[in-house]
Amino acid sequence: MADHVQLLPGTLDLLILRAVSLGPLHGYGILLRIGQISCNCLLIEQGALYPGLFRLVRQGLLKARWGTSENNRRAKFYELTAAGRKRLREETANWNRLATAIGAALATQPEEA
Amino acid sequence: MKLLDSLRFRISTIFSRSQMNAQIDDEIHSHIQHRADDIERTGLHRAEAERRANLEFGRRERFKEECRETFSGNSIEILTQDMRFAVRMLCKSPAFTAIAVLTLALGIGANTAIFSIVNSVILRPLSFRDPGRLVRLYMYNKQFDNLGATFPDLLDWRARNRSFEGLAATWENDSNLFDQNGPTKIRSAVASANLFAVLGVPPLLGRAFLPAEDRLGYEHAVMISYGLWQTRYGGDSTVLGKAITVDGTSYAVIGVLPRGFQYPGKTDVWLPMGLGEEALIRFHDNRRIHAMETVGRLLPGTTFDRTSLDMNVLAEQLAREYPASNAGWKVRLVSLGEDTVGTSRKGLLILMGAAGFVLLIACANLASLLLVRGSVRAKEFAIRASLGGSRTRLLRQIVTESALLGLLGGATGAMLAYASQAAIVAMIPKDLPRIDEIRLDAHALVFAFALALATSAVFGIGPALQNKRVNLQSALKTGGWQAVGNSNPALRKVLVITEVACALILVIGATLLAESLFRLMRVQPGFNSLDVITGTIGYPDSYVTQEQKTVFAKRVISNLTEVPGVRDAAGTSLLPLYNFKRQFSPIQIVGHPSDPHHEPESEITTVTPEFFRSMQIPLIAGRTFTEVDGGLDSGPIVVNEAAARRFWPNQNPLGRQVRFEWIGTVVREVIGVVGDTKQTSLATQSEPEIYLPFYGIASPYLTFVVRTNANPAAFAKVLDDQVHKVDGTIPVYDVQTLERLTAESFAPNRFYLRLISAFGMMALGLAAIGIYGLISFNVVQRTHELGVRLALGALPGGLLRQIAWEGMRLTLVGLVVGVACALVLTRLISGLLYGIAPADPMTLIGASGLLLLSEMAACYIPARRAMRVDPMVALRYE
Repeated sequence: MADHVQLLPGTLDLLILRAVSLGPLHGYGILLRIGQISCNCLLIEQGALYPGLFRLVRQGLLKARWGTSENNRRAKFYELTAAGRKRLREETANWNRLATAIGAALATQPEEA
Repeated sequence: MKLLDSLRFRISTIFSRSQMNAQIDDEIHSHIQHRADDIERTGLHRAEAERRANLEFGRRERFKEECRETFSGNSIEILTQDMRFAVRMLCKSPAFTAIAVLTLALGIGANTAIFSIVNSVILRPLSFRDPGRLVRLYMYNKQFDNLGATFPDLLDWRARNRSFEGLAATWENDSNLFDQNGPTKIRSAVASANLFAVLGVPPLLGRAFLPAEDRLGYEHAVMISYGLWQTRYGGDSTVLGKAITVDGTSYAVIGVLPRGFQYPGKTDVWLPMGLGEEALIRFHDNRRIHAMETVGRLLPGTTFDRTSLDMNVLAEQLAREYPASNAGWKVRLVSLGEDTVGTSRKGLLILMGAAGFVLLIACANLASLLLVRGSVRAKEFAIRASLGGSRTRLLRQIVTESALLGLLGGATGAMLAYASQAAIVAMIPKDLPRIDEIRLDAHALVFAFALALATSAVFGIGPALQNKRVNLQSALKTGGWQAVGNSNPALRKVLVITEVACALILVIGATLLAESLFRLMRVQPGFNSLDVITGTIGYPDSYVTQEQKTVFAKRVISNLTEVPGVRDAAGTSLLPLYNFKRQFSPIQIVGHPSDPHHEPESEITTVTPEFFRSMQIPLIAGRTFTEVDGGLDSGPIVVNEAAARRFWPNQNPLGRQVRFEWIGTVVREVIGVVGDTKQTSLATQSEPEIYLPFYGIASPYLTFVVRTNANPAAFAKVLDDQVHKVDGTIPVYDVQTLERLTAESFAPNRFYLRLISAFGMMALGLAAIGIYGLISFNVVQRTHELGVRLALGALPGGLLRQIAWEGMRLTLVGLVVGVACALVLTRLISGLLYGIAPADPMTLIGASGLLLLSEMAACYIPARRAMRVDPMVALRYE
């Protein structure tokens, strides 16, 4: 686990939105999807996912319904709402700007070497 | 739509908590099953796979709690939950709860009770329209202060001022009312027709006076108060047009004023300015009689200061026009609110301050209690924190508990204030304005509520901060008592010192007031107040001549003397120490050069011949009056020692002569000198007083003085009967024993003393509880250590001294701080003191000693318990 990167605060919500944007998923499925799309290098405590999910439902960005999973088990499936889709676009743009800016800042060479 | 959904969601979360819990559990279960499915595929048993899945999931309870918080997320639910828990916690330790609630109730109750007085007397606006624009106008010069206007001045002010919407005048009197219900004594006021317009209060029933009724000789009309209307005329509207007799003159009732209308003072009946007393007629063109108590309403846009300037410019003009009467006179404006409250403000604010100290001590005590409790509960909080309770959530819990305590204390305090109010109001000296308006109203309740919340914030903040520092590991590892180690001893010490200092200030204040009262009670009033009953009448207008008044007085007095048990009876225009505005009249001493700037003045009292004997005022020289002395045009005078000293220093006053300008122009000769009596109050020096014979110079009022063999109160009925035997239309009022009248003069001192000593007692008790709590807590905390030391051979006496010393050290620091503060603060009550300096060293030492003793007792009890610790038990303690 040592080579895993700790999540920046606030980024879990963005990852969840991104994961769910590709289609309805249940909680465990979201976790797998995040692992898959982030080349398994993010460290997410499994349980920590749920407060995040509840928060997003509460904010109206996700909606949830109970269904049956591929393992034939009862599970709660999450999908994006229109507001969730909009938020994902905005947050993605924000993140990219931030990442570019920080990347650029860190790439500069010290002037006096 | 979204709002509606969100609302429905919120509501559903409140009502289906258990359902929500089940859903979260279901979802987590589903997650773990899916994970276990995956792990199973790697070749593990199902059971092992599920165990691992569970482990990987992490702190399940904590995540559940977080989920609940996000989706219930609403503060109402958390609050009800916290409340429920807080109630459970408080119920679990009833002793703690009872002490905390009672402590707070004392503090909040004392403050609410005093606040309800302050609010009613000072803060609540007067019941007039826009009372902020109403001002009283007084005239003053070098010699006289706070006099009313003269009638011609009033007319000139009205005609020439540029600042007032209207200027109204009144003139107060004690009057006799006679109607179909018989005679009674009332307060009457002659009022200008515009009074009710200026105050902005229209009559409830009927009409106000017409401008024409300001002029002499107009129809006899009268307005009555709501109170009189209710008590005397049954609140019946047929009272309009009814004929009533005031001081022998018949009037028709034209209007009733609304409930609560009080101006001037507690007037029952308003008479038009065009009539009233015969004396008033003389005012109409007299620039020397300052009888008009004037009130004005400022024009919108004018300021108080500009008006004051304006009026004094006007006063200077009048001084130039009428130099003989108006030279040197200036005008002072006082806002009506301030004028009504007068000197009571300071006393009430002092009481408020004293009550504030009690609250401060209560808060310190409670903070201290909660700190201890917080450290005892450190383990509980540590467990909750490790089970996933977030810090904020725990903090909320602590705050909720303090707030709940605060509210309980506040409610109990408000009840205490309500219960004690009647007793406090009964103690209030009669000269406090607006007494009958005092009640525990919504403002006072809001005040109590705000106080409860504010105090709970103050005493709750310590434990809340303390919790922030709790180290989970050490708290969990150790037993309850050791976790206590971080119970913030420095803060607790500061709290105890504060309590001791505040308590000392109150005790010093109470002691100073008590000593003043004892000294006042020992003051010789100059007469013997034992076994005397007094009662006053006012002559109705039907008694026109001196002859009529004299005959009435003589017959009543001789009838009284014949009643068995009566030793002496007499009459006077004004009793010493009687609560009445005393006036000094200018006189001329024959043979002294007249100096217009230092005109001698004296109190002037008329008395019947038996007066000095009845009052047992000693005769120093010469003789007193006989039945034949008297008359407007001739007759001797008797002076008191103060007058003899002032007017004829080092000379024999007997045979000297005095000229009075206002009763004839006759020169009167001194025939006797009597001892001084106290006049306005026991605390003030006797002023010169000249006695004139009542027969022949009768005043409008006559107070009978009846010296009995014993039990004077039983003669109240006798006095009433004897007056009514001579004239059934004259009511006798203010019937009271002379002893009681004398006691009235220190009623304010007694009032402040009683309240401040009550606060002092509370403070003393609370401070003792505070230090008791600190020491006994230390003892319990150190049981183990003490046990070890005893087992190793420490002497119990030494331990006792050591433990008690910890408390006494704090007490001593508190006493030093308290004395320092008291030296500053007691100056505020110097006006209430008599014969003792605010910084009286004996008082400071005595009060400190009292506090030291009570704190010593409070330290000794727990320290003694420490001494009895059985080493074996102590060592096994954990």
